[in-house]
Amino acid sequence: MYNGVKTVQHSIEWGEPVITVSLNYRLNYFGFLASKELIKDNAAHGGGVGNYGTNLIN
Amino acid sequence: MAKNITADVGKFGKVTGFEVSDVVEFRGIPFATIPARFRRGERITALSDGSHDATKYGPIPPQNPEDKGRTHEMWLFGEYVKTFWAVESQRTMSEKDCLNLNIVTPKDAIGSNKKLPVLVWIYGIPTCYGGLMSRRRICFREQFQIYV
Repeated sequence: MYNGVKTVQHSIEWGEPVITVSLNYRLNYFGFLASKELIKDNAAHGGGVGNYGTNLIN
Repeated sequence: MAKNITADVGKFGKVTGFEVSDVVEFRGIPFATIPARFRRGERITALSDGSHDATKYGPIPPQNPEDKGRTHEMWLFGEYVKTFWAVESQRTMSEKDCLNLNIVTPKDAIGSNKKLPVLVWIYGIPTCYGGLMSRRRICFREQFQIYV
């Protein structure tokens, strides 16, 4: 979606208003690199490996 | 000039966006911090300085501009990839500050307690490039309480 403006404008015209949210996440190696070493490294920091993209810690 | 509109999001802080006809656009609101490379992001529950200027897009995640020329992508998405990079390549990349989001809401939803459906757009595969201006996305729909 180029941005949400058109979508929301149409939603209002249709009488079914919505809110749109679009978000960034890390890509490529920054987002998805995985290895045994990274599992160890991450163990003390909330765990998780191979998906730093959208997998957040509360 | 677009008129600026500030939404008070309680404990999260004040976010200043701008109106576009009957909708309000908020850009580049930080939603998580990145403690280090290859670590999971940590959700932000309050803005560090209590307010955010959401009239400008935030940085996009680091990515290789050379990806725009990859043969299979040009073959599959040709014009799309070209258009995407024409816009996106002018934006700042940041590894630490790329976790930001854009919100667009109807103007009369600001300050209202009425619940509206929220469309969340997450740009999809390939995972090598993308950014908030990206059009190819997965879409899902959920009910949220509006806080703006």
